[in-house]
Amino acid sequence: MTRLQHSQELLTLQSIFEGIDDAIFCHDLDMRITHWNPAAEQLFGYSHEEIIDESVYLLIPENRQQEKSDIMRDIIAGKRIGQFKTIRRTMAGVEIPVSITISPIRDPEGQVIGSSQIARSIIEENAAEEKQARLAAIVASSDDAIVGKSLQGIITSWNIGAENMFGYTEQEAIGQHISLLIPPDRLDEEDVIIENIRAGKKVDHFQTIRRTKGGQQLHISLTVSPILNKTGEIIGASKIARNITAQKEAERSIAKSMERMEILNSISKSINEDLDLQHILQKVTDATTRLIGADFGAFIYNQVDQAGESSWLYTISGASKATFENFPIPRNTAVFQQTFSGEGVVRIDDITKDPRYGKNSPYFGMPEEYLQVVSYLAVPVITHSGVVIGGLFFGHQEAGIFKKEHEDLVVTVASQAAVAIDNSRLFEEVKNLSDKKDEFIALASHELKTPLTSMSGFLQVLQRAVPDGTAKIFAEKALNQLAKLNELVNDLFDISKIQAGKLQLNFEPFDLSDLLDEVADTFEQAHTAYHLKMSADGELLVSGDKMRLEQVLTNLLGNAVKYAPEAKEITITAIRIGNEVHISVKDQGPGISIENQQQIFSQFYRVKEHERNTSGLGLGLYISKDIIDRHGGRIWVESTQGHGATFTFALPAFTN
Amino acid sequence: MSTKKVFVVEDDEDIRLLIDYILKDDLYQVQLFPDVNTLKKGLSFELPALIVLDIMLPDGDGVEICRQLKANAATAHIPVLLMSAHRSKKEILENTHSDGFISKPFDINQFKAKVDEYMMAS
Repeated sequence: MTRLQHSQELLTLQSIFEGIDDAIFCHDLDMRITHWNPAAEQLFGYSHEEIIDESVYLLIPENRQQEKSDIMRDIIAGKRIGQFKTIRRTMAGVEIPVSITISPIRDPEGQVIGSSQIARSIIEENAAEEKQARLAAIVASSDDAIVGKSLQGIITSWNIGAENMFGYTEQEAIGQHISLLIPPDRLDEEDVIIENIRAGKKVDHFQTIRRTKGGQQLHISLTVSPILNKTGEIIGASKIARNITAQKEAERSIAKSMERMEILNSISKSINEDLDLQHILQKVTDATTRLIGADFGAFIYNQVDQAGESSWLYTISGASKATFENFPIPRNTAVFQQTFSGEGVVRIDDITKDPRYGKNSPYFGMPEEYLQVVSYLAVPVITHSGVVIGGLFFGHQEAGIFKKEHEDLVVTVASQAAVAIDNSRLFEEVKNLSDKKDEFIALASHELKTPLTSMSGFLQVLQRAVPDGTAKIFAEKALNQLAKLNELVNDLFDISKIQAGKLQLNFEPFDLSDLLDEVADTFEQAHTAYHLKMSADGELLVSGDKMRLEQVLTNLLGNAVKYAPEAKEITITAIRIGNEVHISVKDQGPGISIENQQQIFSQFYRVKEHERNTSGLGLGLYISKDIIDRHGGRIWVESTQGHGATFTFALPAFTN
Repeated sequence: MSTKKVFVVEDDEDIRLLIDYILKDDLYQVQLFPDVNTLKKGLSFELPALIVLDIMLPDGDGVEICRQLKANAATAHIPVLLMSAHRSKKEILENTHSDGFISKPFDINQFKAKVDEYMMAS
């Protein structure tokens, strides 16, 4: 190397030494600083003048001075120490993390005569590292599964949360495709997610289902964000999955509870409203079967026939009745016995494994062609008085379907059903008694008619045979009384028919004016003392039972005679008003009080003021009202006390 | 020519007596039967010009007997008057093809007039 070359190189090195961003300084073997560049001045705060010839230990905190001595041994031995991270102290006494590269300085003979040091502050680098460590700790400790994956869907990172949630260890998961976690029917979802990620879009709180190593399905909420490299390029995705299975379960269980409440409510409502036993049992069976998710449910009566077998009176839900046709369940089989004896609830996860199952000939279990029951639940239905009316039986083809909660639900329904069944039985008893009463009245009235008929006939013969005089008059009076007696028997008979719902009407279109004329004629012949005023509005067509409507008119006229005996004028008005025909019978009697007006059409009701003076059962207006009602008409009374009473009935006018 | 006959089926003895008395006439003979069984025997000997038939009989139902008579070619032509204690038998009339209806208790004149009417026509 020429001298010139040598001096040029020195100048170059000098320029580098002055211009470089890293702090460079040198010291001799006495540890005295010999060189100090501007960057060193910048980093440590000492100026060139202040530090030259000072000990390098000025820059080293006390607890690091041993370290420096150790390094110096290596340097003297000719070793170079690269990027050693340590702490140095500034002029202001602030300790700063630095990365130092220390090299020996040799003389032309190769002897180490000092060392050069290049130092760089690593404060920022440290902060980034710390941040990363913190993030790593957060990721590691999170309960959420945090998974990194490439754009190809390959798993690149896997935290403890992911391990816990999905059951795969980090080693098992990394390198696998993310579809490892996706149920087959949801594989399409991944395409959509990746598409979003490629477009730089985050997928937020996407609720879906993922699969664990054990095959269990989890409801999760997914947030997937793109991972960008330093140049902003998307290189993968981070996935945060939160297990919301519990939340979903809670939501489902709330919805289920609501549904159950509604079903329970509807059961109690319907069984309280209904008195028909078969209906009640069908409703209870249907609702409980739905309530507990059984394949089928049945109510079986605890009734024993003479052969000791339970009668096949039952309702069934979820299967056709034909499925059970001719399938005898002997009541004393070990399985059924506990329910019918009222011992309590039987709930079995797998009835086919129960020692009591399949012990009975001829089937030894369920015959193959019948429903296969595995899960079994049976609840006795016990009345207030402790009688086991029957049992609610439920089955499911899978094992372990019925839980304690289902049992509790059915027990609740069963107790409600027991009350309803009690009520319904009571009602049926009362109804039977009432039916018997109606039958009796029908029979009695018929029996009464036979002597009435012969008496009436013989009296008529006598009345015609005797000459005019007292005997003839008496015979006539006796006949009148017989006619009244006949009407009473007729009323009794009608009442029994009305109550049994068997009063038959025969509808035909006819002119009501004609009927009025006939009734008026008959009335005037029988009551010569009365004056009947008629005003009919021409032809008044109605569709009705002529004989029954005649009965109504006769009843109204008869009442006018009975209750207003002093007033000899009765007015009948027949007019058409709109689509109705109105017939009124008006008397000039004492009238009817408001209180009586309200009750006059009810059964056995008789106007109180007249009770002692007039005969009758109090059935006439009740029967009349029933007849008019059955014609789709109305009947009512208008009266002011002291000014007579007007009874009116309205019938729909007949139109072709 | 033999005198025309009317058959009366009625289980109550007094009513039978009464009807016999009312219908006694030079125009026709009255033959009385207490039940269905005897009526059937009577019909096997000869056929009347009219049958007056009570509905409630100890060994049968008049409505059913009437239906049978009307369904039988040998007796279908004989008019049948049904008797009943109950007013609402009109619907029965419509279903039995009987020819008339007498309500119990009855007016003896009307009863006689109705029977006469059928006997004259026959």
